[in-house]
Amino acid sequence: MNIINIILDFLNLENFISNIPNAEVQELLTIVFVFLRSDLFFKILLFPGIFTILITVAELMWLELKLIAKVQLRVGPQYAGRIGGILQPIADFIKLLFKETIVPEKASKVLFLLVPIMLVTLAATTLTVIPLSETDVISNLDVGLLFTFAILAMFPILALLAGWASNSKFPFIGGIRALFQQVSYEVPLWFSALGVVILAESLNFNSIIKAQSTFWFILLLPLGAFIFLVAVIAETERLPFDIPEAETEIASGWMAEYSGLSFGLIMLSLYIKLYFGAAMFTALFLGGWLGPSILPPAFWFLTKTIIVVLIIMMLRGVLPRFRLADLLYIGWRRLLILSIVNIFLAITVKLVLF
Amino acid sequence: MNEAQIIDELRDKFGERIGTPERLRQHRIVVTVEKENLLDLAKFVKDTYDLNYAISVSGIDYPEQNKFVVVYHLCKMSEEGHLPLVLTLKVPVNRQTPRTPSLISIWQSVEWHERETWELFGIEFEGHPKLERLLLHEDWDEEFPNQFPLRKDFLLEDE
Amino acid sequence: MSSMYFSVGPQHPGSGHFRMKITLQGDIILNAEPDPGFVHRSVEKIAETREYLQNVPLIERQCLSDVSSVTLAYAMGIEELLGIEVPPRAQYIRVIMCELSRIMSHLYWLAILGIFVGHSTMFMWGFGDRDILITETAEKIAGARVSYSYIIPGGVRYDLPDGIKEHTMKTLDYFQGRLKEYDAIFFSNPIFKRRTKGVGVLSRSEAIRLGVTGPTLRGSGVRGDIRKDAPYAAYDELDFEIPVYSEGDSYSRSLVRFREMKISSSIIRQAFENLPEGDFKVKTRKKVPEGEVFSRVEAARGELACYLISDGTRKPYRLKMSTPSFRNLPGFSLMKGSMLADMPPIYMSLDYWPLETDR
Repeated sequence: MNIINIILDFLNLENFISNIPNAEVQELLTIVFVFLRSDLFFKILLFPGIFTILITVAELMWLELKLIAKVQLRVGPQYAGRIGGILQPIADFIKLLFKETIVPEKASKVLFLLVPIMLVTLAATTLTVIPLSETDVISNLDVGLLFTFAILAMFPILALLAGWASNSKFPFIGGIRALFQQVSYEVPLWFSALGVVILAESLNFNSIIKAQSTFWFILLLPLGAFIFLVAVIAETERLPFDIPEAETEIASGWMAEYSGLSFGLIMLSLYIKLYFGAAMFTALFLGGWLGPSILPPAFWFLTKTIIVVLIIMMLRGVLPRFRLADLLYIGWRRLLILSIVNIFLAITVKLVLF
Repeated sequence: MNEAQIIDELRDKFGERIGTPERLRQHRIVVTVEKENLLDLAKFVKDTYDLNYAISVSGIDYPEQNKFVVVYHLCKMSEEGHLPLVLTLKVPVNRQTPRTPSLISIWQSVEWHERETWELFGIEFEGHPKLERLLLHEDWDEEFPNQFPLRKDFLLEDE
Repeated sequence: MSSMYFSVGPQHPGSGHFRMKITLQGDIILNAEPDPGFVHRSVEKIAETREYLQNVPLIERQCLSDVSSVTLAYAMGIEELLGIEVPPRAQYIRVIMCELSRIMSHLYWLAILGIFVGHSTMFMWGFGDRDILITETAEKIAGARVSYSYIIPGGVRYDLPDGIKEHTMKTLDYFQGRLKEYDAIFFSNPIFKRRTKGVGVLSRSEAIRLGVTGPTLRGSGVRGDIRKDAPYAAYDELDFEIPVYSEGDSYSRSLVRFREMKISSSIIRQAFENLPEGDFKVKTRKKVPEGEVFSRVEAARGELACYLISDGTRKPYRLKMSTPSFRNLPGFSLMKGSMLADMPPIYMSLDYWPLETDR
């Protein structure tokens, strides 16, 4: 009995449906209502689905605004929502909603408008396989990790597409940079996750998390965890790796031409991606939803994820941006080698401990 | 390097070809030179006194005397800093055909200054590689053909 | 391989009121040409139509981050023509204001350099400290935060207010602590070093040949500073050093400015310690005798020269200002051959101020 069922009971729409004379329509609507009342719909809509994610992401944005403001000796948002401007991200999103979406004259219009929607869809899709607890997962795929990497591989293509569809020089350079960066850092990301797979002998997130019940993998594979975190920062284009968006070089890069709602969607997708990266890190290295059973497992998962996100966000307060050449150098000449070393370490740990 | 010494040497070397070098005040020497002898004098002061650093190039308009004066301020810069001495070269230019040789072959640093003087006074610097619009807007020529803002006959609206 | 042309500015987060024409091949800048003139207001022409004193607020608007030096150069020129001696107290107050201006300008530069390499904390700290500490001190002394028209021919406009010495000393003490924090978070940052070391190298001979000035020159190993070489105001009575770095890259140019902030605060302290009693200005005449004068000061960005010609009336016949930003324009050729990501550090290491170039 979940809240959607209670609401539907209260509205008592089934009675209304049974009065519909047309049998086919009645049948169709009944199927729809069976879906609406199902557990899956609850998961997608409320928990751990869209609603939870949006609230978490909005609060993450607010935390970023506030904490970075503290670092920089400012106050940060103050007014929206009374308590320290807690509703500021939502207010920002509403503001973007009412702004005009300007499409450049020579842009490829359909692609230009399609890219933000695809970005949000893709970012949301990745979250379907992340378990907030053993049962709170929309789709408990056996190849969950593989699935997330398959989705993750689409993002650079979309960034390049956004830069190309804008038909403008700075976005194009930004798109190329995004492609370079994300493709080069996907390899170390993969390889460091491979160490976890070797230890857990599974690609399913729940099995991976259960395998950590004695030791979190960050203790067994600190090197792998470090590489994974760096690669996640690069994948999500956060400082010091925000090279595709470098404001003072290429004026916000591949999203330079976006405005209004489409820009809001891109920002949303980037934050979901950041949340997703941190969630992956939590699941692979920090024991996911494992924790003292005083509090529900989903609490532990969200807490750990938020801490990881904040660590990533805090880097913005102290680090400047890398150069593209340095970034590629670090990716291919340092992280790749280290991640291969990490695989051997994982095999050693496996042979010794298990 | 003594200021009086420089004045004497310049007078001995160039004699009638330049105006009398004059010491205005401490560290300031002014030499007036016709444009025919400008390059010779410039080469001489650069080689002899190592005045390797051009501070500024300015134009002055004297409509009553029917001339422009192009003024070069030169200084010596070594590893240990500036020499306080500033040598001023004044080059009178005819107002109807304002042309004078460019000193860019001697001091690279006059490039932008000469370009600015060309734009604001309309003085042609012969041998300057790039006399193009610098400070004024691109359609200045259409709006004010053959007018140069720093000449005295260009009046501001409230004058 | 084909190349790509685009202009950075005047509508670009990394340009200011100014444009750079960039030709890019891959990630390498083939050609970078500065295109100033977007904020040209013909100050030199307007100055010919106004009286000498009226020009003070006019010319200080060419460089709002460093207003004292330009008005000082102008005032020194007029005093030279009038043949008047400025009282020593005024000279010391002028030094205080010039050094405050220098710190203000360098803090502004530091903040912008921070955001140019993507370091937003340095941006906020720089502007925050500039507003709270330095401009507040300037306001207490001169009555306005930024454009105070304080230095006038004959001295300064007002005497120092009571208690300003204690206030300034307290401010400078706090500022010293902040400088250490800047060093820790920004100048010692390995990523910042990696982005600026060896980037945009300007050799010593090339620096002199191109005629660059100020910290750009001192970052290339030339000890050129008018404050020492041709002292004006009260600089010959104060003890200070000139920071020089010989590497000639963006990092050394940045370090020169960073160390200058510290040295400037020590100069202000000394000036307050040695501040003589007496008049703070002398009477001047409105008509300036005929003649010409060439006065030089060391502004925050480099040598600022003011060439003033008087024809004996109340208005200058010709006023030419050779500004440091204008003279640093050839420095943009340093971008040739470096990567696109090196463009902001090189641009900022020249400390280019578009208004000062255009006038």
